[in-house]
Amino acid sequence: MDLFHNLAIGFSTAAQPANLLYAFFGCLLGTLIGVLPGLGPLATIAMLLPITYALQPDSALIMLAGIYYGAQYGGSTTAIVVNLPGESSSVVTTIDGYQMAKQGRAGVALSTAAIGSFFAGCVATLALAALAGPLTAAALLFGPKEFFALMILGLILASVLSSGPFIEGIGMVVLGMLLSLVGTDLSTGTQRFAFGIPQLFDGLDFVPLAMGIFGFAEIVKNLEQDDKLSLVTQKIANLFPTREDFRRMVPAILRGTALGTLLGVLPGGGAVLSSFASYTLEKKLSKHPEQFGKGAIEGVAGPESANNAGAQTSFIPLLTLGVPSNVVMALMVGAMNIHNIQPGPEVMTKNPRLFWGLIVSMWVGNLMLLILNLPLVGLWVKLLTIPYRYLFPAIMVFCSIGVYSINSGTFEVYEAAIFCVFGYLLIKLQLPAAPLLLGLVLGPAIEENFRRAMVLSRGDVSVFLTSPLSAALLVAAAIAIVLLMLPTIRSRREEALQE
Amino acid sequence: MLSAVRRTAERQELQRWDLKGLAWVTGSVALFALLLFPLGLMGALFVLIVVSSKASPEFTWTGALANAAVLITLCLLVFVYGLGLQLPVWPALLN
Repeated sequence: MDLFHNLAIGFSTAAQPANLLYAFFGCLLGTLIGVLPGLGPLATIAMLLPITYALQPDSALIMLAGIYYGAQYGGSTTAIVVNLPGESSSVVTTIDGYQMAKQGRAGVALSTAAIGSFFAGCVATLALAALAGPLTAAALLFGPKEFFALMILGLILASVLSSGPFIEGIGMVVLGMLLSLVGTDLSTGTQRFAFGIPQLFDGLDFVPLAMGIFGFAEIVKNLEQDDKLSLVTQKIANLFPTREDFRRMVPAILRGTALGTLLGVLPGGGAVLSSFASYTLEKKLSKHPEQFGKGAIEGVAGPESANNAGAQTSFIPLLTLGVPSNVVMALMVGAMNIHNIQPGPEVMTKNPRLFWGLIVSMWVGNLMLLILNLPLVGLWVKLLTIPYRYLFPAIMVFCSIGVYSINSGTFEVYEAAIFCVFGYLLIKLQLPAAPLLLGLVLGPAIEENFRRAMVLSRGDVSVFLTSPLSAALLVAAAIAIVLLMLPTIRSRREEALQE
Repeated sequence: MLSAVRRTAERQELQRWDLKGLAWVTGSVALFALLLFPLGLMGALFVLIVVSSKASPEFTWTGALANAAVLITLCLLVFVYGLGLQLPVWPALLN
């Protein structure tokens, strides 16, 4: 059995003491930032990116992945105990989780979330392992025109699935792609938009940009709203769900896992979309929709399973096709670039130990998270008593040192300061920043594949439509746009994204 | 997008800007970059922490100074001794 053989390779990598340690460190950090509102996996991964330079590539990726799925566990704790989403993917958990806590069932809600997340994590790991082979084989058949079409489809879907109007999403994608043009043209060596600044010859680094927009500008936004934390003060006793709870949560966990596994693979998908979709689904299917919002256990079990499954399966397009499906995955591209690993089908063939090690580490990490979260929940809740005025300078310090250490230069720090102002402008204009970063990261690859396709076809643009594979991908992208124009779908989408 | 210029378009209020907070946060980052080499990591971090703390409406001097002391120690331990990053720790004059 190939799969078992591969998983065995993965285990031998993931079980190395150093990798176990970094997986644990990633999960611990992920839980920590998941619990703390106002600090997400995005800023944290961006912060740690330059520092992973010193690590082995497999350890680095294992740790960064741990932060992302670890944050899904931690986010639910804050949502349930304080009625505040620790993570944007646990927004819907606040609805029923906090109500459960108010009824004295905080412990049950927390263990429901943890059990659901763990089950979903195991299934998603298996899905990742099972799908990796066939998808990689398919990707190896792809030429430049197919990759170009695939990335166009990815960016369109990411804009369709992001919150807010489609036109804003796609506008931000295009802006990001324009920013990606800065620097030396690889085939002619011409400087583009570099204005004679030597630091821009290599292009605009996306870490300062991500840090400015998702780190610093977020801080300014958080400082504006002085939210009072309404801590549920009673002791969290009785973690064990009753038999009735189990009967109600098991189907919800199964549905949430399936939905999350599926939606995580889609470009633009991932943890956030999965949790929202799952809550809507549970409410629709429930025999007692009136209980939702008043402490229905399904409203915790479904979304919490879905967000964890989505977080993990969003690695599938990145590892097999080389196309990041959301911003966190875009940062993982950055992490791989630091270690000279080209994301895409070659990862599995050239670096099987890294590839399978990362997958198996996710299962190991989920086990660690279960232990970290259930017995230690009291400790995490204590963290929430740290006032934000002490917390945000710490974020600023870590971000600034992180940006500086990309190139050991202050130019990137100034860049981050500029993008802080830009990010704040985006927040105030209510424009989504995530598509911008995706455009920036995918821009160079799209350009390169487009040019290669043009060279191969001697400048004939019609190759994109005459090759069946790329035509199919482009048609799918067109269908996604057309569907969006249909009024019924549009109102459904707004409804789904609003809840 | 077209609907924005239509005559029937709804008038949308721009949200209020918190320019003060933005200035303190952005300014502290720029100052960090400016002062890192002249003052070293110790001085630049101190300025960064104190100036950015000003962005909070609940700023207190004791709180900011205590926070600075804790964070600078932590950074020295983690980044300089732990990870061995190449950072100018002390002011340029002392070297």
